[in-house]
Amino acid sequence: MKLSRAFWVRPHVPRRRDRYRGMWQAGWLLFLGLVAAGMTAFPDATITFVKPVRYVLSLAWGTGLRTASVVRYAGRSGMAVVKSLTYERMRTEDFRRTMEALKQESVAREEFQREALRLRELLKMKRDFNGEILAARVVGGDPVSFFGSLIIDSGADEGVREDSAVVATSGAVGRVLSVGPDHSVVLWLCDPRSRIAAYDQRSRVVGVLVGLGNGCELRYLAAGDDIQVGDRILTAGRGSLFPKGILIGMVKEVRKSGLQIAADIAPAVYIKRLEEVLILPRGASFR
Amino acid sequence: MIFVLRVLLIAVSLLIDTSRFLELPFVGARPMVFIAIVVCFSLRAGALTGGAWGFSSGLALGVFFADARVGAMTLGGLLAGCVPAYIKGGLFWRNWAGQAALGAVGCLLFEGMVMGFSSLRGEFSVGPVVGLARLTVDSVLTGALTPLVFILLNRMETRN
Repeated sequence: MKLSRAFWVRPHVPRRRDRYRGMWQAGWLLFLGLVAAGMTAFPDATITFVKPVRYVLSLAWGTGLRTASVVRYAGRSGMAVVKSLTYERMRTEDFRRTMEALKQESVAREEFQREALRLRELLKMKRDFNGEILAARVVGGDPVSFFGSLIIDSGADEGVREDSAVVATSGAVGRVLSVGPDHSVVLWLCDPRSRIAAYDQRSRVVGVLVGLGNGCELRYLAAGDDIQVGDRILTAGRGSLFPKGILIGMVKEVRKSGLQIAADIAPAVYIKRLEEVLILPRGASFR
Repeated sequence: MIFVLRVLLIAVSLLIDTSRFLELPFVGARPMVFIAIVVCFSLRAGALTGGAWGFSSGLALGVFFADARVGAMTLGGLLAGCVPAYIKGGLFWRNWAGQAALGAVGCLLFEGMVMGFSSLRGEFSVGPVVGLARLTVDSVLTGALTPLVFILLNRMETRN
């Protein structure tokens, strides 16, 4: 009698579960899709549910981001050390050691000096405002690259509130979008979701500053409005978010279309290079 | 055990995505690590598993940022997780180039969904050309990362 090669293996009999597997899978996917679509259609209601959960989740996330920030800074210093080690390898051992020590010391000193300068500027700026001003360090950003939000290491525990204005030594940064216990998310002025009132310092013309992702645009200016390349654009202080007169940027290009003018603005603050910021309470003003 | 490892991997990838570790210096674009991982789960385990991981990751990201995009991120994550499983046959998913293409598709779906949602709400003022260019660069970077993540997952899950 000729037996098949795998006669001892039990033949596969499709079970009921297997038969309905495709339907089961499609049902689950449909359910998840409906939940996600519902959340997309009613974002404001979703946020109401999400906010308490966020508080718990963001404790762990905030700690992780702080650690990542420390690792990133340490990594940069480590890279600098590795580069200088490679450069010095050709020289004698003693000379190399001396040079290395000096170089590391100077790098560290330069870094301290730069940090001290930045903090001094920040402190000087802090004295310019009324109210309780908070300082924070930038620890992360929005994962979707064309949105410009920042994550800072101060949150509700330090007294940060939603819709507080955020500034840097070089100008306005944005506003606090959401607050966690020990960190907050800041919406950059050039984020496509941001809109604030702004004015031209020279001609006092007021428009609406709209974010474009990597720059911003002053819109809704009338055809006769006086605006020129190189003009400084400042916050208008309307809506009590930003105090009036904080630098936003310079006019890069003026475009006329029909009865309206729009001006491209080069932001004074570029978030990729931002390390420390100040958070102003609502209603803060210059002394 | 493998489930815990997967959760850890997703958590670390979300942390990397928000901490700007992999951001290119001048372009500002970055690969979306969690999308690459979700696409690999989808290719290895099927649409439901990939979709569930994408849904959870997108939801976690949306909850963390707690802005109006939470639903779009969840839906984008779900699509990025389940669509590659359905189209993998046509894109030679066992080949690294196919995996890269599927990773790029996942990123396109996720970021496209978030961008489209913001555009519909009138919150996305960037022109379509710039938006699409950034979307393309991010997708290419994510696509490039996907085969590497695939190898990593293969090794991780074979050893455990």
